[in-house]
Amino acid sequence: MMPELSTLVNVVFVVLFAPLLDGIERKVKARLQTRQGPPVLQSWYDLIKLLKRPSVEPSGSFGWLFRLAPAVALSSVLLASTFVPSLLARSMGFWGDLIAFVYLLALASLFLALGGFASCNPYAQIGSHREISLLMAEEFSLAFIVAGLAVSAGGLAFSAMFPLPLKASSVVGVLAFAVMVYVSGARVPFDVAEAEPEIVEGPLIEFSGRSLGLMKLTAYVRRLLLFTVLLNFVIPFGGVLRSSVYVAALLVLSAVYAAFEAYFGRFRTADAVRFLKRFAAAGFVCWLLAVLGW
Amino acid sequence: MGRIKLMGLAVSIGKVTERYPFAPVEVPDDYRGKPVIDPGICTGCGACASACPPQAIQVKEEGEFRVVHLFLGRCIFCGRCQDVCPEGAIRLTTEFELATPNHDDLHQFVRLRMVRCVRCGRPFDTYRHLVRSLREVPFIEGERLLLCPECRAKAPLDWLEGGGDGNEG
Amino acid sequence: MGRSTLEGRFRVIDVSPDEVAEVVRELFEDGCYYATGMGVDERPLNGRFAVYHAINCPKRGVYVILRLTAPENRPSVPSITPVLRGAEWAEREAHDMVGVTFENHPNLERLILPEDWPDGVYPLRKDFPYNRKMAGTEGTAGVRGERHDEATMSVPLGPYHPLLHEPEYFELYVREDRIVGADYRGFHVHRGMEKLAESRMTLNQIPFLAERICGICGCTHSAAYCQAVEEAAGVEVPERALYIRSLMLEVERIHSHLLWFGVACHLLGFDSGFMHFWRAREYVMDIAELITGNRKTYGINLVGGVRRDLSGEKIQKTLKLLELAEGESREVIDNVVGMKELIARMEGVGVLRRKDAREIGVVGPVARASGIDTDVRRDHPYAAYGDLDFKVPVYRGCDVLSRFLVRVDETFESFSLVRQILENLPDGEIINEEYSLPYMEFGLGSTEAPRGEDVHMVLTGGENQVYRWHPRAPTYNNLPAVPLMLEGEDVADAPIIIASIDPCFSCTDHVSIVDAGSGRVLWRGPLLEGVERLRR
Ligand code: SF4
Ligand code: SF4
Repeated sequence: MMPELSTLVNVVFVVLFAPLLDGIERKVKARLQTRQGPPVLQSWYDLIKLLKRPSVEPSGSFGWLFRLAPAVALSSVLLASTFVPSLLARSMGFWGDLIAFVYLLALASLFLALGGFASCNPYAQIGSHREISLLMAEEFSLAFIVAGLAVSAGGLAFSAMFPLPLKASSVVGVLAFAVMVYVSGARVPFDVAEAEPEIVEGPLIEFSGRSLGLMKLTAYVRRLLLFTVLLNFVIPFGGVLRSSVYVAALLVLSAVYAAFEAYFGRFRTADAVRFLKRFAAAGFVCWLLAVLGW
Repeated sequence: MGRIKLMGLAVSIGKVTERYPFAPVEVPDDYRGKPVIDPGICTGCGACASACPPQAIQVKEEGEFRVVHLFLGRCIFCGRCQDVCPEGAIRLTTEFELATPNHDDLHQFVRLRMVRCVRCGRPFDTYRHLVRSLREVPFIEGERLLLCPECRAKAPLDWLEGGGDGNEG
Repeated sequence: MGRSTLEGRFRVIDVSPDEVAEVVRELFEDGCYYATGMGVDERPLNGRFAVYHAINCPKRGVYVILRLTAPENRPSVPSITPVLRGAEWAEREAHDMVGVTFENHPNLERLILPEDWPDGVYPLRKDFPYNRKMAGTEGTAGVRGERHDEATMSVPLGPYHPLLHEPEYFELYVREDRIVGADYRGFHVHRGMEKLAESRMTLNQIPFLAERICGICGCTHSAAYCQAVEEAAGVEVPERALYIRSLMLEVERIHSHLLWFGVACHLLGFDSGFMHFWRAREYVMDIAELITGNRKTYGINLVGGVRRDLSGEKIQKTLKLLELAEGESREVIDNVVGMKELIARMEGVGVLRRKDAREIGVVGPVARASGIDTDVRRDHPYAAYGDLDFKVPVYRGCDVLSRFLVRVDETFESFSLVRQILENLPDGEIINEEYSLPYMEFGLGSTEAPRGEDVHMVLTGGENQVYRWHPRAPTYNNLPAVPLMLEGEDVADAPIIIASIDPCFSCTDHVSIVDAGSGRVLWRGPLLEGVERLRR
């Protein structure tokens, strides 16, 4: 298959499957909370409803930034989805590497925070502050992990990293990366930026209708891409087998993450940041091992 | 690990939330649901109306009729009406799904024909209530029974006091 | 057979204006605290206005009611707030609703009524008709509160906020992630209940109105009201009725505490905990439905007794449900306590020192978590509590965790109480309807609601009516402590701190509109103005 075509398939898959994955997570959580839970397509129903509605701009906001933020956020995750192999192994790999991926996702977070600031709502301000502090702490840990993985794989290009060579440093790196996937997915206890009972979804509070829909879709796609990169590190083969193993692994992974999420209480921001700073040690170990050639 | 145990507990218990409204919900027999007046028994005595805390029941007179009007929109389902009704005419049922797009569904009217006072011609009591009081106070002579309270007060006091007063529960 | 459990529950003392401050100080030093107060328009009776201060003396098992009167042409009495700050709200309420002035009150501003309410119109005076409508005016902006420096952001919490479930307003002044100050503005949901009851309801209709003061602990209100009337009229209540009252009060406490644990978990981000607690609570709701015919608003109390009896079959079913509820609650609580991040978020947070707690007069679990050993059930036995055996948990941590632990212990005491009641239920009548209502007799009923002491004061009106009814919900006494608890804490902890008093705003509000705590006057339209300030 031509890379363009397979890229298209991948992007379409990511967009369609990401909300479904969220629906499945909701079902898993419902089971762990002895609830019936909504139908698996619920996240899709919600999205469709939101996308049909106009957005309302708060009267005191910086209109252009507020309008721009959801579009930029979604575009950056979509751009990332063009070069990350997902359903199909072949993708436009020449476009980007792990660094580009990490920064596109960070860009999405940044614009979520900027959108929050632009709305001028006090809760959004607090939420955006929290989002930024968390983002910086994440980048700190991630820097070591990415560096370690790069040394271990002998380059930052996806072609070199997918899959990773079987080394101690890769194992440590992948495990550490799995934790970072959890953290950047804004899951409890790390969902401090959106904490509903505290600051009412923080940066998202003033978004409504279409723009809220775009923000939500961004979040779903972002979680899916994080899973995808994690899986790519370990799935060794291509073809049909790859696609089915990939989808199955996605479901398992998201169920496990959802279960974790259902059984934790929320951190304070400072605690979350402290945790991430300490966690950088794991990244450091990965890097050290890689440098030592293990 | 507390959280693991709780997780296991949840899995072993399964779903506890109901599929309501797609599946029915059971309530006990003496549940305090929608009050319903049996129009074949109600005498229009008005005891329920004076006990009802939010005045969901009102008794009005419309020409020849006394109307007991129950408006569910005001009802708090306390069941006081059932407590005080001397006839057992009003009962709380197990029905609780009262949402409706039609306002009329929330009203019950019991219309009872009234007796006219043979002296002044004013309708003063429902037939049914009069007959009911007759059963309890059998000594009243026919003539006085058909007097409204005012006219009766003016009539010579050769009858048992208070016995024929149609406005007592 | 019958008996009046409330004998010697209170003593009404007429005090002169010169001595009231001294009396109050002595009572406070003796371990009493300010329970509540009401203004009464007694002009039809004696041409005077009266103020009743109810002081709870737990050690002596009595409420001391200090009654002050003032002539119609100069309705003014000395304030006791300078001696005991717990009286602040009650005095302001009496000032607004009845028009009594309190000399030397530190902050006697227009508070209870909205700013655009006309001067000199007092809704709880007897010459004010209950159905009079005041001309509507545009809401006017209040005085702007304290100004903070540039680095301080004001964060509004309310009037609508997922944490609050009811319209209330807290304003937090935040520097970085710390709360440096907090204000409270409440009483947005005034329902004019007292006026309604006094003007157009009959004696036995009011329990149903009283029950609707609160959607969670309504039974305790109707019980307190009935007790107040029974006390005033000297009604003997059958033993069985007293036991059934206690039974429903304890069922209500269990459901209320389990509900709170669930909400606390949710506020800490642990939604599964919420579901676990509410699952256990569902058995308790079933018990209530079985006994009273509904899950909530039991409608069980009337003056003189209760409305529904318990059959043997119902007792058996209740015991079974109780066992399930207790077992599951125990399991869930034990495991939740093992979750470190939850406990860490409650420990040392939202501290209310014992001294402040005493002066403000906080009640219930909030008081018991700050080392104050008080419980109306034990100190002023009512219903069947005199015959029952239970412990009153007291913790000294003064923080959110202590309030959590007090409620945990209480929940299991209540399970045991319900069992004791069902096992020892005496036979007999369930209601005494042979009583007559005197004219202008004072009565006080108090109960230990899930949130603390609940006090109702009644002046009977004869002829099946009450002349004056003053209910005071526990949150009324606990709220003024919240700004103190918030100061110096992380913004992220504000929700759990506010929730730690298990606030019930509508219950507090049924009477008035007050801003208090720090006593600073806030402004209206808070969200918009808060935003505007941010933009500057
Ligand atoms: S149930 Fe209560 S509120 Fe409803 S009609 Fe009967 S007395 Fe009135
Ligand atoms: S109390 Fe009974 S008989 Fe009398 S009016 Fe009401 S329903 Fe009819």
